[in-house]
Amino acid sequence: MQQIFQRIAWLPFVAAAAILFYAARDLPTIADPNAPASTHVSPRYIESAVAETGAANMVTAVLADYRAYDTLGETVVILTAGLACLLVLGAFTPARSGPTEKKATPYEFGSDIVDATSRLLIPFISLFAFYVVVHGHTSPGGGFQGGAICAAAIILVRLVRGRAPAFRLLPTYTVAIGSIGVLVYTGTGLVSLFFEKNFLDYSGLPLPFHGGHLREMGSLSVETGVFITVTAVMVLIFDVLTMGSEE
Amino acid sequence: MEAETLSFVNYCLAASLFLIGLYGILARPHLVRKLMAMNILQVAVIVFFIILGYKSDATPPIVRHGDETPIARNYINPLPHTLMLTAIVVSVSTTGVALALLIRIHRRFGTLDESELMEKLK
Repeated sequence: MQQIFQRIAWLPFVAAAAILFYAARDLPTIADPNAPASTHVSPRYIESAVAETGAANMVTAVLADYRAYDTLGETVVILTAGLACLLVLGAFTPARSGPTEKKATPYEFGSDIVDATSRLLIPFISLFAFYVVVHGHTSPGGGFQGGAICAAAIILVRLVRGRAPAFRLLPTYTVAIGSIGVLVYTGTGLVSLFFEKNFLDYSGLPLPFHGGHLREMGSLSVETGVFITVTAVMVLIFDVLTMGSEE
Repeated sequence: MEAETLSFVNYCLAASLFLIGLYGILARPHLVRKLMAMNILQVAVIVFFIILGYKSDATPPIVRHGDETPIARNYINPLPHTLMLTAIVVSVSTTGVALALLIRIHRRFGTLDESELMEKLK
């Protein structure tokens, strides 16, 4: 049975190839400003994003303001993925999640040179992560990107120093931190609900700003929630996946 | 090269990446390789969307300081970028879950080869 499947695997492959290459001929010319993708929905966003949301970066404007509901779902998906990793690998069982008795060597994975270089780099990587989040409205950036960069810094520490007790955070705590991110996100939405606006309508937030600036603050708060969740879940996935390797 | 041919070549490159991923998922027996092929497939979709968002003589979708009335012609399409931003994050999460499942399978059966797994499951 298995052999038969292996042998006819090229059939759907050839069919997909034929369809894709045939369809590629009918797609619009690249960089054509009159292509359907550039003339239908996006002009509305491009022309009114700054006036309505106060974010010069339209990607952030769409992500954190117009489509804030979708991004909330996205954040929950990430948290769920982290939880799924935790559950699949059974990290809740005490035998695995307890601190190991093994004495941690100074450099489990790295060496002196790697350690010195990472000490120099990690503060800047972390600072850049916060910059990317806070400045995500006027330059490329946002919660997802900043979270990934911050997680990269933390994972770098873990790769260089090993999982020495000083840097250890139990996966159950990491997942709690990730939940705090979702809480910040939902909380921002709920606050505007209490001030007689729709869920995630930032114009209802009780902050001393007006118009675009107020919405900018709202989406910054939401991005902070995304940042916390993404950082926590990336670190969590790394921790859980490498858990068996230290035994 | 004229623009139509060039776009066709570009679309074909994205399609080829997609097909490489599809072939890996269908024909490779090793589960880790299947997962890598799935990631290549996702990258193909991301590349395709980013290609669609491009406009000639346009800047990235960040309104320049002082530009009071942005015109759609001057900025590239921000929507594919937004979509792909979330797609990348979801692909990282799904890869994490898939790797966790693979580790679990390896702990239980000691192998990640599909035919050996089928033998052991009998």
